[in-house]
Formats: sequence, C-alpha cells, structure tokens
Amino acid sequence: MNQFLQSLPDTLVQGLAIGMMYALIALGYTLVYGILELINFAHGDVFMLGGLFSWAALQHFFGAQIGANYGVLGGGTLVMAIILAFLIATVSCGGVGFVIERFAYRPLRNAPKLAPLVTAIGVSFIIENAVLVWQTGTGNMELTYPSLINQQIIPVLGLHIPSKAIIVFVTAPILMVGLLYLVGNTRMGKAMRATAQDQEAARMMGIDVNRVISFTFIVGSVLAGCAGVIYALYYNSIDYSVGFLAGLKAFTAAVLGGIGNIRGAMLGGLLVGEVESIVDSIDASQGVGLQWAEPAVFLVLMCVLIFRPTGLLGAQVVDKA
Amino acid sequence: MATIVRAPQYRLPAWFQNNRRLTIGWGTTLIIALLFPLMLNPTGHIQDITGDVVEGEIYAMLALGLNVVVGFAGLLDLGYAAFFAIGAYSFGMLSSSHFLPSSSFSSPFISWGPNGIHANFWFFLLACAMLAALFGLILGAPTLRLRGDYLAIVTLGFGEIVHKVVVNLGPGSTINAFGWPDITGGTNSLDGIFQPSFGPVQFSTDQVPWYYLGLGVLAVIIVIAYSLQNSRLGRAWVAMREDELAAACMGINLRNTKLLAFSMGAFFSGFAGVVQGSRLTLVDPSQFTFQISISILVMVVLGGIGSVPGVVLGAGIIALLQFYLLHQLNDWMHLAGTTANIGLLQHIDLTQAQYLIFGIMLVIMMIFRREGLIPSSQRRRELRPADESVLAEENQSLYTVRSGEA
Repeated sequence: MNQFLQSLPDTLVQGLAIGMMYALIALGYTLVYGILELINFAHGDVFMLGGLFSWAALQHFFGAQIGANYGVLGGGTLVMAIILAFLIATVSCGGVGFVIERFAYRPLRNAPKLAPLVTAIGVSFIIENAVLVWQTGTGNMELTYPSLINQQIIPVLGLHIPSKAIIVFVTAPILMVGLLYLVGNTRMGKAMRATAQDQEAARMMGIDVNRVISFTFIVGSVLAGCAGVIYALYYNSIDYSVGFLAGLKAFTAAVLGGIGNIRGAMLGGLLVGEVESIVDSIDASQGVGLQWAEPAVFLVLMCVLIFRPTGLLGAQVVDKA
Repeated sequence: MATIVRAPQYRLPAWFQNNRRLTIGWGTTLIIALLFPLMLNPTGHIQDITGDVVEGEIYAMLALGLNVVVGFAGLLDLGYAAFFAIGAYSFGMLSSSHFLPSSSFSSPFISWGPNGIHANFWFFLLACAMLAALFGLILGAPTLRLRGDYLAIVTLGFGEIVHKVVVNLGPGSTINAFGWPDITGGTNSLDGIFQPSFGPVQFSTDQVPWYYLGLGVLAVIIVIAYSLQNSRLGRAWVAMREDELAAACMGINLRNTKLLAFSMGAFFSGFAGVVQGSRLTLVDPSQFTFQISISILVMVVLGGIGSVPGVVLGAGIIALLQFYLLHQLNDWMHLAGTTANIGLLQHIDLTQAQYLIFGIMLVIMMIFRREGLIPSSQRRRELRPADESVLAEENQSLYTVRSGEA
C-alpha cells in the first residue's frame, strides 16, 4: 500500500495520459450515438486500425532509419514521421468509417433496433479477425511500434513524466479543441446538432441527413484513428486485440459523461483513465499478473447506469423510441 | 336387420393435428438422433465425431437459452457465456479434487473427504443451473430500467467481469495476498472434475453416454422452450418486446417478465455448463470469452431469432463449420496453394478465420435475411413489416381460418 501511495502522483499523470486516449475514442461513440442511437461496436476496432495503418506507413517510409536506431528519430525526420503517422491514420480510418456506415449501417437505418446492433457486432468481429488472420498469415504476431522519440523520464515539479506521455498531452487536447470548434462553430457542426435533435425537422430545413451522418462517422473514425496512433506510440505495440477492450472502456467513458454529450465524453474518458491507472497501480503493488482494472471499469459503468443513467453531465439524446 | 358396423374412426390426438409439420419434423429428428451413434462405423473415428456432436448439442442448449432472452423477450445479451461459466465453475468446485477438505462428511447429495468433494451430479445439475438463474436475476435487476442498447453493453461488461474474476481468483492472486485459497484455478484451469454414473452406465471418456445425456437434456429444453413460447409468459415477452409501454398498460408486470427472461436463459446456460464441465473434467477461463458469447448469438441469428427449430439448426451449422468444414477447407486451400504455388494459400489458417466468418455471417444475415434460415413466422412479420409475401401470407391465413370454420 505504501508503494502505491508513494507513486500516486505519477499514477495520476499516467491516468491522465490514457484517459485522454479514451476520451478521443469516446468522442466517436458519443457523436454517433447522439445522431443514430446506435452503439457502433466497430469503433474500437477502427481505433486499432489507426495504429496498425500508421505502423505500416512508418515501416514503409522510415523503415531503414527506425530499424537502425531502435525506433528513435531525430529533428526534421521525427516531425515528418509523426505527421505521416497521423496523416495515414486520419485518411485510412476516415475511409473505413465511411465504408462501414455506407455498407453496413445505412441499409438498416429503418430496421428494428436489434438489427443494426447485431450488425455492429458483426463488423467489429470482421475487422478484428481480419487483422488476426493477416497477423498470423504474415507471421507478425507481435508488432513492435517504433517509439520515435527517446524514452526518458522528465522530472516536472517532483513528478516523473515519461517523455512518451508528452505526445499525448500535446496532440489529444488539440484534437479535442478542434472537435469542439467543428461542432460548435461551423456550418457542418450546426447541421450535425440539428440532425441529432430531430432528423425529420433537419431534413425539412434542407439538411442532407445522409451526408451529415457519413460526415459524423468520418469525424469519429478520424479521432479514433489518431487515438490509435497515440496508443501505439505510448505502449510501443499494437495488435488485433486492443480495439475491443479499449472500445469498451471508451464507451464506458461516453456513458459516464452522458452519452451524446461531447464535453461529457472528455470528462468520462479522463475519469476512466484515472480509475484504470489507480487500480493497475494497486494490482502492481499486490502481486503479479493481476487484471482487476477491467472489472473495476465495468463496475463503474454498471453503477452509472443504475444510479445515474444520464451520466455525470447529462445525456443529450432525445429518446426517439 | 343387419346392423351396420361402422369402422372405428381413428383420430390422431389434437396436439398432433394442430402441429402436424412440427411433430413430424421433430419426431424424425429425434429418431435419427437416437440412432446416430449406431450409424457410425465403430472402427472409424467414432469417439472423435461423437465428441464433436456432443459439443454441438451443448451449443444447441446454449443457443436455445439465449433464444429465450434475445428471441422471445428481445433483450440483447452479449455476456451470455458468463452463465455458462457460472454453471460449469459452481459444479466444478462442488464435485472435483480441486478442494481437498481435511474433515469428512457424507450425505446422499454431497460428500467430502481428503480426496475431494463428491456431489450428486443429477441433483447438482439442477442446483447449479438454479445458481446460474440466480445470477441471471442479479444481472437483470439493475438493468431493468435500461433500454436495449445499454443493456447490450451492461451484459457485455458483466461477461467480462465474470471472466476476469475467474482468472483473478486463481493461484497467485490478490486474494492470495490476503491468505485466501486458490478458488477457481485461474488460468491453470480447474481440473479433476468427477463424472457421473447413471445406473450401470459410467460416464467417462466414452462419448456415447454423453451424447445420450446431451440429447435428453436438449429434448427437455426444447419442450420447455415450446411451452414457454405458447404460455402466458411467452405472450407477455412478445408484448414487452414489441412495445414496453403498451405491454405495461395491458397489465403486464415488466419487472417480473424481464427478470424471468433473464433467469430462464441463464438456467439453460447453467445446465449446459454443468454437462460440459463434467464431460471435459476441467473448466478453463478460455471457454467463456466474449467470442463464445458472440458465437452463440451467431447461432441464434443464423437459424432465426425466436425460432426454436431455427436456433437448433443454427447451432448445428456452427458446430459443423467449426469442427469439420473449416478443417476441410483448410486442407483444400493448402492443396490448391501447393499445386498453384501460391504462398498465401499455403500458409492461410482458416481455423483462425472462424470468427471472421462469424462476423461476416452476422452482417450478411442482418442485411439480407434478418429472419434467419428457419424463421419464426411471427418474428418475420415484425422484422419485415413491409414485405409483400408476408402480407400475402397474412391474408391467406385469414382466409383459411374462415373457410375452415365453414
């Protein structure tokens, strides 16, 4: 216990870092749920694809430098590599999100609710296991993600901040502020809010609802893809299985903050990150190989749904059922 | 006057008249199923094949249980394997050499001593299934107020919690740090589960007795499923599934109806868990993952949500695919790859692609044939409200009813 208390501040910093990743994924859930009332189970797997595609791009373009230097780049190459990783993740995940919506969910737009939900699970299974087949087929079971920057601990005000957390603290807030601006201050954002409120009325006002829904999926998937890159940089690994659990935790975050509520998703993400980080730290101080973090997070989810189903900041979903 | 002797009129019983297709279908299936082990060549891989078929029977039990929750009551349960785990683990702990008590105790139901705990299989088959049903209630109670999609997530979370708790309560866990014993065996799996006997028949590695046990349990479950479907409770489930508000207005107690759906589904799953644990003599956390929950869902969706024969067929297809077709396809692919010298085909492992195929099945079924392979007629009408053929059928059935009266 002592060991746990001593490292508590550092634990909280780590929780902040993973919490920001969960927040980014949670935003995608909340955006889609706000408009379609659909839990996009495949969202977590799109997150995983972001890490995977950027891994492939980095191997392709910077493979030589990365291989020689244990994944550490310097100066201009580093900036280039990071921009490339995010760019590839953005484009590919945006594309995947668009395709999923267009071919799996749109045909079921007016079907009973069970149908799109089951389809979403199916899509999630397809992505996850297609990557598994690819990984086993090519013998890439353990994908080591290049760390790109020097791994070191930076002391700030008595805290020990790992250098890789800096990437999270820089990129995640930029993306979140960008999203808030997009939804709050642009014409498309206004259309998104209108569609979320009442599709029929939005259509009467001349909004192309299908386009707005596609756009929402793309935005959500882009955020998830970027979160995938951040995750891969943070943990230095990526594989087919990370999407499921990360997605589930991010969904917990979205519900915790109040589904459909963008600020809520951010807050929820941070809280889930902290819970996970604290429980992990307790586990580490108690024994080897313990995994109580996930049960703890799901317990939080159940408690929220039982005692405050609208989440901390209040759900912004009109019950259309 | 010669009396006219009328030939006695043989009348088939009313339940047969009313469900002729159903009775003939199930009757034929039952006869084939009873004779199945005799049809196999005893010198061949009889044990292997029978073992796979028993596995298929267990799938069918699980699918029928999930069908009560998803099909009858319309509640999407994504953590269904958790109840399977509860059935298997509770029986495993009560009837195995996992715990070695120092004291001794003996009774007809349960006895223990230094070589383990022996429980009466037939009694605890029921008791452990009841325990699973109790957990169904425990999960159901807090989720009563939730709408369908939230429910899916909560059940998913519940499944994950049960899985992780089983892993964590093994040797070398937090609990151990507080001086508690190894409860579930963790990732080392809980083994040494005792197997039952029935009269002179001792259940062991020979799969044929298990086959008949599975068949018996399955038959009981199918009968229960049909009676549930046509009961007052079954109609309440349908009403609730279609419109909760309207159902409540008609005087249906939503709380009890939902809870009964959860616990009935869990009960069947617990049944299957006890049989499976005892058959394999071990239970392991990897048998109860999210993938298993989804595989069961695939059986239900494939066969037809809410349709008893459909769900059994779905379980059969999935078992066939998993134990036979995938291996065959794999061999063919490798053969084709070697002949055509295509590297990808030589190395591809389709058994890994099993869940990929399940995912594709889910999406395709939902988009193109939502009602499943053998649809329940009522469910089809609900899932395809605007379908011309359904409308035609409805009109036709209206007509035959009237002409039947005339």
